[in-house]
Amino acid sequence: MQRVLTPAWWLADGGRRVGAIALVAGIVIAGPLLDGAGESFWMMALTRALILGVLAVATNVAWGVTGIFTLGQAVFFGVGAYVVGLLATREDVVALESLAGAALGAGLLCGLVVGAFLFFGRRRVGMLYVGLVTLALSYALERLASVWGEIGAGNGITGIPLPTLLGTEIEPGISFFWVAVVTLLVVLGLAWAVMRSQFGMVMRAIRDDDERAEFLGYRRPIVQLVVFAATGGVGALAGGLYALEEGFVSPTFLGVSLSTQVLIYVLLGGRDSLVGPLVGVLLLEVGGQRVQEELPTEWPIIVGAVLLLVILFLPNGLTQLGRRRRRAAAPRPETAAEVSGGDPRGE
Amino acid sequence: MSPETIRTIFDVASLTSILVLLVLGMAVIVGMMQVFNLCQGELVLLGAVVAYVAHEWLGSVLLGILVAPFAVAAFGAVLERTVIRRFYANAAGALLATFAVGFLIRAIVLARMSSQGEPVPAPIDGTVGIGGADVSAWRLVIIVVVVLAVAATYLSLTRTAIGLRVRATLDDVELAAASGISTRRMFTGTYAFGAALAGLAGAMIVPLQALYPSLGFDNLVPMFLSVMVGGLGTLHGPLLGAVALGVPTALLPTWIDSVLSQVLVIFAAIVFMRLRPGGLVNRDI
Amino acid sequence: MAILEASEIVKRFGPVTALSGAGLQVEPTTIHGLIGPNGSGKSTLLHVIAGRTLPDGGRVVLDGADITRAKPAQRARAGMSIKFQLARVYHEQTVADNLLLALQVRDGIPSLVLSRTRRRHQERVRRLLDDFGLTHVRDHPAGELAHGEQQWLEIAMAMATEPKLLLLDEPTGGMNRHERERTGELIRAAATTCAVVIVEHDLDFIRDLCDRITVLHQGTLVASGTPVEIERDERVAEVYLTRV
Repeated sequence: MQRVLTPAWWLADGGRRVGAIALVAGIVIAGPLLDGAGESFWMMALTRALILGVLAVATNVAWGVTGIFTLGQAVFFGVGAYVVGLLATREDVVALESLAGAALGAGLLCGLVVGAFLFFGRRRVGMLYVGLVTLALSYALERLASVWGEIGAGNGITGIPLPTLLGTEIEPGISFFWVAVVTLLVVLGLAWAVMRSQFGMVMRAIRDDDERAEFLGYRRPIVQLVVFAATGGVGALAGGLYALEEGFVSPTFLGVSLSTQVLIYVLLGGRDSLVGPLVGVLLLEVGGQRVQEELPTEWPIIVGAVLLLVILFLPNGLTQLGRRRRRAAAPRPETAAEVSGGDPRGE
Repeated sequence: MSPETIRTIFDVASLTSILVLLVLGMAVIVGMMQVFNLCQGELVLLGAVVAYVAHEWLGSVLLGILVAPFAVAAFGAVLERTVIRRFYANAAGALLATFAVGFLIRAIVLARMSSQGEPVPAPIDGTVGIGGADVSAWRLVIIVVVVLAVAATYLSLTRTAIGLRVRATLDDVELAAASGISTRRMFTGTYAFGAALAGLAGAMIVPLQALYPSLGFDNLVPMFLSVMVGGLGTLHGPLLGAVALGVPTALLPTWIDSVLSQVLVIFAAIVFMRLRPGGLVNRDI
Repeated sequence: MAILEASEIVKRFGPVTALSGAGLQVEPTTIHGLIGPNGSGKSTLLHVIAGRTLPDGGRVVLDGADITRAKPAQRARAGMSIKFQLARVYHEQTVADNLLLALQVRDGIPSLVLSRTRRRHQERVRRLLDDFGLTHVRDHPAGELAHGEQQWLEIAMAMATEPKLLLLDEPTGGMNRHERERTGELIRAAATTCAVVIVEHDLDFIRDLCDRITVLHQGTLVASGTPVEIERDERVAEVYLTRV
């Protein structure tokens, strides 16, 4: 950990570490600045983007890092939103601690159930099956929610009050921004720690060659289940916050459209990159807001075209720009003496 | 048989035939070529757009239906040459790239029209009486066209020289290339053929609904489930899958809510695929 | 007592019978060659032992425990390691991390998440790097290694957890003479602590290296014995002659 304090560590990897820190710091400062300038519209747009960012970061851990090809991450988001919406309007639960815990728990539970179905059993399922099932779930649950009278059918749940935190009421505006920022920072921190941990190595090993990992002795289903449930829980937490922020829940929170939107965030920003998905969210949800005002009809076309170009030419996303090709960057030294200086990429 | 029973049978036949028609192009592209084509729904949408444009500009939906397969085939050929071709060895890449293509097409269509939809009239209106039940003439035409289209597709792939070359290419590219088949053209041609069938489907069904941007995308999940339930690697597998999904989806609403029956069928399909990854037609996978 | 006993193995692929009652018995700390002409079923037998395919009949016993239907991860945890025919190492992860991946297999998920065992495995990683001549590339992504080095890395990964049985599928495929010799040395060193089963085409390599050889033909066992016995065996000669 001492290396973290040296300038070399910060400048390694093409300055991407500095970029990531600057991005996060920029987000934290942007809220109060926008609030001070009276730009509450933009501050709310930023808040929404941050909550979606939580969902995107979690999706990236499941898909980009572990290779669980989930095309229906909105299922968790929607479940979290409905749980919070129902608790807040029917049971009069107002404490954010309880609501967030309930959303997280519901997402974990969904992840465990769906994950157990997908990953356990003698017959292993292909990545495309996982993609199709999660997509189909998202599709089916949106339809179900839109006709289920008990949970508001097509109207969803409206009139969700703002919650309290430690007994004090959260005001709309800047205080909800702080809730979103803190949640995002915690999730980013956890994702960062997991991605660079020994468990992160196992996650990537299962993504890159799951059969090899099993022959090494890793229990693939358990690793996948843990990741799927944990990221599902975080996704549901994001959904719960979103419901509180917007004051309503709609069946579309579960649906294919949001599921694929998350896919776009991750694809644009970059898979297996900590802040990549966040970059994707901010580009589309905050940067996009601006463009959308000027060019409301052309905006989706621009997104689609950029997305296609990224997939064709930058398969690891926009954050790949500026990353040097490792192969070219690290010529193989011939003798052991030359590398005795230590790991050039840091510990 | 009472007119009620005939009506029910006709409705089931009509809804199932529509799903078969939607799946037919996918059976070629996903079933036979094994390209995970997430823009299949948008190929259907483009067929519908052609029918709409023909109606608006030339006043003839029928002309649009005739032109749609060729127009969408041409688009499919270009798409295969520019995008699909890069991803034959990379299933996930194909899935993401076609997703992006579909998103782009939807966005372009959305930019030109309202999301509520533009009505397109059927070339033949009115009803036909069968055994005392009045049924929609256009739905009857669709059933007939589906039967003809399936037969024509099947025969052209099994009984013609070009169909033989297509199957040889999909079976073993290197062997086919060594036998002097232009495999690149075969891939382009097969994809374009699958696109043409999707275009036909779009143009045929648009009079039943209306033209709206997610016309195809809304059907993507049932279409994909049909293909996977039926099984990859053949033409008939996905079509069987379409029947296996279509009949219960159409029949269950007699007793329970139609959305609920759709959801139940999707869940059943998911469980079935888990227990039998090879689908209806492949025993061992 | 034999460390591995595969007996009466039957495996059918649709109408084709790949193995009809073949078997293999491996003693501790010996190097056992498994040979046979193309299509003799030697690779299928290896896959049955490794758990890549399940047999239609027969039993596989590892150190007294029946593992016939065990999953690959269970076999690995019971002391079986495999090196695949084509080197399958994690290209994007460094050589040292590939070894760490192999070593930390039995560590619980919580300690992996907290990276609590990295330091404990450090010394073993260093020794493996040293033993397999990979110290100079320890921090390079494994994908950058030369073909031979990747094969050695995979053997090192297989040996990391001190298995009872090491399965090697054509370990010298695509190697030059020098690399083959080096591979032979590494296998001999491995065999001081565990039993080794090698499937190979290169008969010269097998003859020099193995303590015992089992010959398969058309899915059945033809002969099993020391290299000298096998060379003298008429049935073996027949099998290899009729092939030509």
